[in-house]
Amino acid sequence: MKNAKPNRVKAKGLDVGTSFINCAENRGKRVNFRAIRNSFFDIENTNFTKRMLQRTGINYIKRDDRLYIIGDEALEFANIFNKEARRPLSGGAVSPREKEALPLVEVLIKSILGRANHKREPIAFSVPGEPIDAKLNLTYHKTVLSETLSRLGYAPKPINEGLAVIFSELNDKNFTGIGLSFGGGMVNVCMSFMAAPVFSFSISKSGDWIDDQAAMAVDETNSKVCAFKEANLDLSKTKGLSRMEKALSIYYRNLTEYVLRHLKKKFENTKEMPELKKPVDIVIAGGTSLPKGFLQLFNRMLKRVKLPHAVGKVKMAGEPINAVANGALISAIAEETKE
Amino acid sequence: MINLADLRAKDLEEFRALCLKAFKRLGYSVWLSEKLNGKASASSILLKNDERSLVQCSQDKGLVDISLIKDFCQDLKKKGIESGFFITTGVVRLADRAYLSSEPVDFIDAKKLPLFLETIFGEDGLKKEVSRGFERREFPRIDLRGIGEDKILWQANTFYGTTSPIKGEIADISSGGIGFESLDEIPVSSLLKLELFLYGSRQAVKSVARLIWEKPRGDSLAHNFGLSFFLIGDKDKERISDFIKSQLPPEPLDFTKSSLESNGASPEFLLKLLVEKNIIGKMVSGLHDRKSREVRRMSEVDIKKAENSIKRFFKKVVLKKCKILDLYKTATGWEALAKKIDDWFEKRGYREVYEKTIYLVRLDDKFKVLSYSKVAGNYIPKSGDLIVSPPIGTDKIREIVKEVAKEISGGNGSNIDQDTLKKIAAEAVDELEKRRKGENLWKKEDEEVAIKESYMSPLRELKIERNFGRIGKVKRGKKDIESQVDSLRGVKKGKHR
Repeated sequence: MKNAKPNRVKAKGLDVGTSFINCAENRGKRVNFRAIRNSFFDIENTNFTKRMLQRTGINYIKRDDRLYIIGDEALEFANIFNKEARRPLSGGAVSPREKEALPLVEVLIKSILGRANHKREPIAFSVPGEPIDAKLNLTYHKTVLSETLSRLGYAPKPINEGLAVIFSELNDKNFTGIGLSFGGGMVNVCMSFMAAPVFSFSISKSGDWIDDQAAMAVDETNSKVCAFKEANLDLSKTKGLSRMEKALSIYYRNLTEYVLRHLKKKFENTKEMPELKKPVDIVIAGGTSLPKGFLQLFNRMLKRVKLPHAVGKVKMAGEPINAVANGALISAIAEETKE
Repeated sequence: MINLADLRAKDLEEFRALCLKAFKRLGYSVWLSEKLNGKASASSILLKNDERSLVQCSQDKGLVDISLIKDFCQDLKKKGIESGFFITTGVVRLADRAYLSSEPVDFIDAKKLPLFLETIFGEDGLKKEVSRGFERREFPRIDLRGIGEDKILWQANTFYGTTSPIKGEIADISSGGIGFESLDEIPVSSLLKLELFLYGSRQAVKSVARLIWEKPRGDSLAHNFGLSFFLIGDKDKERISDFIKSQLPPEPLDFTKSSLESNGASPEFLLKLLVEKNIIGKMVSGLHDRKSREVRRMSEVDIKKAENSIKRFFKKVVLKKCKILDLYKTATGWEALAKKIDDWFEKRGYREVYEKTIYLVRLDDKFKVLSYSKVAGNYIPKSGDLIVSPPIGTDKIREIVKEVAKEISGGNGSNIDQDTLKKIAAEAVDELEKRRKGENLWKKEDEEVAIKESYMSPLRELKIERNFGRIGKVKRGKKDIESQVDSLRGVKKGKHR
């Protein structure tokens, strides 16, 4: 006889990324995702600007004498004023030095999550792996997010970003494989065996780094490069490339190779590696992996780097942008059911 | 009748501006004006009832060379314009007129020009126009360089090519159009969709504007551009005029002795002066939002009411304490006037307060100040106490007197002796210098008033105002979350496939 299914648990998954904050919550069997661009643009708080924002329905936060426009509109405003929009997270984590940004992150999280459905509603939030090429205060990041979520009535638990990708995409492989999340600020990598992380790390170069480098190469603003990248970039194209396409392709290749070389190193240096009988699958998620042809480029680089263990299938996540939040949600529900 | 020599004495641009102004009064609008670039004559295209006319203005002496007129007629044909006005301060020969009689050109030369202008402006009006110099700019202009973002948000799109808006900073605005700086390349004569969000206005001003000029900036790669409103509704025009009026400085007060005396030199007048000079505003601005224990228990609305009431109250008592009038008397020697003002305050029962003293203020249920009393600096507030100190220091008193004396000494009827004047002038120059350098003349401790202790809870400080509830674009996922959770639970329990 089949066991009776446990009552559906209400839970949430949160992906706090450099570029987007994404929340997943279960609605029956399906999941609802809510995302907002993690950027802000500050303008002076005058009656006029305030009224104008209210009239046009643009979301803003008022703090001291500034108004902070948030989300996609922040980019639009930055364009109007020919300036760059600001990011509350630097290099993938809440920085102790960004005192101005911290309250904004809190408000954004609060607004995207809404109130907890019940007291101590489980929530899993993504945290980056230990960075191998940068100094990052992960404890601070984790504590700040944990405290914020607790204040909102949730029972927060951190989950590694790469592992979340595996939870979301590799259920048919018993959650064994490698998850890569190419975000805005970082690339997160995690190798998992039977849902248990074997190793994880993060790299502090990703989409923003590509934008920076390409912008410098073609003498354009980061925003323009980013807009082009998100709308038009095709990495499978080899002929008739514009200057911007050439620059972006070079830095995409460079980044992918850099990530794979570190992955190879990690494979070689991990002492307690489980005995893997089958080739491991790799799953890729994150906004930076969205351009057409990225998977082919990754495969080409993979052949060049040659990992010490056989690689099975390399695939893109079903919904690359939402995979981390989805994985976090799965983890939150499973943990709760277990308890 | 106006003397032609006066018209010839002006430079060509001024002369053309006067002629175009005359045409505008006749119902024409100026479509395009040719750049002068050191030329002896300049043409403009006028528009009336959808018909174009070419007007050329030149300042000639004696007989006009026929080749100039022939060039003008050729220009007319080249541009495909049906009629033209040739305006000159010289004389067109009768023979030349006869020769060119088949051309659709009206000649307004030295013989006709004074009459033409006087008919439009009137004799006195024309004299005024000439004597004060021709106003090249038809509309008063508000310079917005550096502050444009705070006053106007704007967006302009071309009707062709890319849909992204023109990027740039607004530089000025007048009822006729806007000026802006941009790195974009926009051809002159382009029509643009223009939207302006003006400070204090509820709706965006929408218009079709035409780019009428473009000049490179010497100091950067950006260019300066001028947009003229081409199609604009009456209501939008009104909105722009209201905005410009609101931004123009108020008419300056007349501070001459005769004016003061004819005004009755009333305390109200002096108060107006102080308010205008932003002295009163600065004095009461010190009541910041730091809250005492009692205030913390009050609602935000009540706190505001209490603060306003205290501000109003101390505005009066501070004025008295400043002894403006004693110092005013010393500075100006107008004893009678000082006494008059002093009496005014006394009659109204204004009391003294001392600078740098802390006061315990009690309010009634309508937030009116019931009483205030001095308390020691180390006084520990109890429940119900509002502890404030008026934002006044000796420096501020000096400042006030200096301002008042400066204004009066600048008047024609001042009877201050030369030495005092020199002293005041030196101080004023010094102060102006400091202001130019951005130095804050007001000492921090003078402005920090208010309420002595802060009992603000840290959580309250985190309460940030925002204009939205739950945000984020909602997207429905495709996967079955329950089967994924079951798999994970299974693997964690060791029941893997």
